Amino acid sequence: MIKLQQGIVLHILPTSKFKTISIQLRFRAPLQADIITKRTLLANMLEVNSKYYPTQIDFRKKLSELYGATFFTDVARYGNYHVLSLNVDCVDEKIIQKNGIFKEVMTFIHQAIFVPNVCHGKFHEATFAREVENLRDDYLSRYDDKAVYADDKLNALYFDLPEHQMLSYGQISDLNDTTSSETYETYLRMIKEDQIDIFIVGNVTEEEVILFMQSFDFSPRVPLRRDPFYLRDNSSKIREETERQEINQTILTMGFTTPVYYHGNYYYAGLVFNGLFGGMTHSKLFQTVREEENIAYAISSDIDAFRGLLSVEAGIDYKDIKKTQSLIIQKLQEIQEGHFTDDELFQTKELLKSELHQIDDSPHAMIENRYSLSLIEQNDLTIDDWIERIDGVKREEVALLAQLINLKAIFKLIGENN
Amino acid sequence: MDMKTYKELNEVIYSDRLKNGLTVKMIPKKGYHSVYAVLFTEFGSIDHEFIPRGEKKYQTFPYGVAHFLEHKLFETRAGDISQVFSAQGASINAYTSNTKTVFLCSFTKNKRQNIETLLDFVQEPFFSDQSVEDEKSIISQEILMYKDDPDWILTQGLIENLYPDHPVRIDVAGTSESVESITLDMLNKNYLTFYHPDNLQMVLVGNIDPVETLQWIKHNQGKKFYPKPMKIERMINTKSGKPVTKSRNITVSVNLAKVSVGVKGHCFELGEKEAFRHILCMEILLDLLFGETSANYLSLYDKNLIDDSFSYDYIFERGFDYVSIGGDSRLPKELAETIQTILLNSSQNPDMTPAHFSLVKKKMIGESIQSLNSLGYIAQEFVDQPFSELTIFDYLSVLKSISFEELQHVAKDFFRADQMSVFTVDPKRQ
Repeated sequence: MIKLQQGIVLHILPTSKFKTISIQLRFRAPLQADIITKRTLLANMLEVNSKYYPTQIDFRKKLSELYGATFFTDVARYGNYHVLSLNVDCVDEKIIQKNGIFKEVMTFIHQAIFVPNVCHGKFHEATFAREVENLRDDYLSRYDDKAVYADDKLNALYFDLPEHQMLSYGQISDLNDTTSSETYETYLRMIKEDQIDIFIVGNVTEEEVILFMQSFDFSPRVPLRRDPFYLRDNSSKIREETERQEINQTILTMGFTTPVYYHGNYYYAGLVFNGLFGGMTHSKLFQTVREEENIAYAISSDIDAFRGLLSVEAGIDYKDIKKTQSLIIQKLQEIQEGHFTDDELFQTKELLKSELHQIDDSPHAMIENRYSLSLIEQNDLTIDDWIERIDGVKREEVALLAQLINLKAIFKLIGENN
Repeated sequence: MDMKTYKELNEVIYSDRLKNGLTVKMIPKKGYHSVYAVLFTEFGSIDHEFIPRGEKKYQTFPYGVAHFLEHKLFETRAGDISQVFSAQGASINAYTSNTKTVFLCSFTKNKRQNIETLLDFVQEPFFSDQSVEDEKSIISQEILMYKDDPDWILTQGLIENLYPDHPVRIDVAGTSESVESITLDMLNKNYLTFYHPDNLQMVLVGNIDPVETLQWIKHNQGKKFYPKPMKIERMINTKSGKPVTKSRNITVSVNLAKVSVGVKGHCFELGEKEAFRHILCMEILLDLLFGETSANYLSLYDKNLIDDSFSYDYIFERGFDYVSIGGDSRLPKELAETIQTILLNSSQNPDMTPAHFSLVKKKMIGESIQSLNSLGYIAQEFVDQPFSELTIFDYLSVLKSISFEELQHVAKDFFRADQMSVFTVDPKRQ
């Protein structure tokens, strides 16, 4: 970890096992309802062209010349943060014996960030208009994938604040009154105020990276210190919503509040709980609802450890909806009462540890892990520490954690004829 | 054991064919923690008409047996095999395609145990009448899930157009009716025919010692007894010779229309070397005409005919091959027409130039090297193109040897108007 400036951190992860150099720049701002869609549009604008490569063809041709360097941007929500990420992978030039690829890629990134396709205080209008329509299509298509749609609806039902209710990449109603000059303002704010983490993974030396980074002239900024976690509210009433569509299968989704936060007190017990409950194929939900009762093909649970949300999703026949719902509650109660075997506990821990060991086999997983840890200022936590903590989870802790989990929202998507 | 070294890429493949017929391929990767292990059989949804082992006449089975078997193999004497894998720190998954059934597993420790468990659960079936009946409702939920997926509807609709009398037109899982008619006896007959080691391959990528690993596998196989390998006689009945359906659409509850243009191929019977080269040519060709560096792509994008969902693919499988191009569109009809025009006039297309060709080649060289980071990707490539000589590591040298003229020839030969079809998923207006 090298502090380049106040608020700008460079993370170099040298390794020679990959055939690539991976570069990511992550721009972090407080999560606010009115900036999410704008930042998404900005991310999309930065992905398609720049001042020096003003059409998508110019832009992509340059990347092709750099031996098919991949370049894409995306946005994500980490609890109370909104993160815009610029991601690049290129071939390690030592493998193809062509000097200068890494340097040229860094120059390309520099231009994409510092010299965007802007004229007279606004982004290129035709590109902007097109990207608005492209993003509109993206929002509209969420409805078309029923599992995705049900998940979106559960999220909106579960949370109270708009910045948490909407998608991590915004909402369609914001599109009509966002302009290319506003998007440029969003850009300026990001460059000036966002916290920036830069990651480089591959066969590189600190000296060469620092040399190439010199032109990245980010000004110092006030460090952003806020609780990254969305904390629980105390509303006790269960929210329920049902929607009918012309579909064949019923989708049941449920959202529960938990005290499970990334590396917080209940985190390790929470990981074990999720594996036991519905996160893995040996889990109670999979084994009961699918293998014993034969009423679902897909059923699983998941935890968002920056927002303390446990969600369950099942694809079933409408006639089995009540049964499935009570089975889900029953399985939760079983864990609360400590009704799970030592075998189940062991299986879950082994699989969790194996997943952790695999992080170092992918440059992107390595970056994701380092970044998440930096958000909670635990940069020194190693995978071995983490594994030790998983091993240390006692069955009583899992039961205790399960007792703190409460149902908050249910969304059902069912066929019109039911 | 054979060993093939790719110096430039710093990769080695170790391979062997055991006495019982099992093919083993191993690709050790230095510095990696995980092992990615795959066991697969050349048996997919289209193989529903064949001579069962020990019999003399062709028999036709209901659609969906291969997929049904894939599900049922997870049930073993020791219970659900995923619990055994979990306890050994491994995650297990499986899928069935039109031509293959594939079991995939990844782990970082208990290597011998996990490799043996993978072999044992696939090679030691444990079906009962009751469990066969129980599985039917799970599979029917799986079929319903796909029926609500518009992207699946699009893909399947195009295939039905291109192959009106080929078994590939039926969903891999079968139909609700065909699945209902599957019996224990059918599973056994299919299993004995297609799960003979002679029809199986094991691929291991990652943190392995090939010599030691091969010994484990040999020892495991030595304990099992199989009848002699024999050629499997399969039949694909397309006697009616129905032509390609030109155009069809369906109305579904979606926001955005989806359209796919398909071109039925005639190259699926090519020999290994020719096939490998042909697949690469098709990939370059589609990238030239529709990739992100093509003027065609930008023009479609600027005219709002496509969005980020646009994609193109060349499918090459045992028994069929086709191109599909399309995605979400606000103007599906215009998009389909434009794509067809581009395909039929490819030789005059401004994107078909030697300079653009060299650029696309350069890009594909870089991308193919980048993809070698992923153990899962490497293993998957060995499954998708299970050739005996050529592999993903030969991609670079073959790619470099392809000429622009060769590509022009392939384009002219492949894109024929009478083999083209359009399928559209239209939104239901409320």
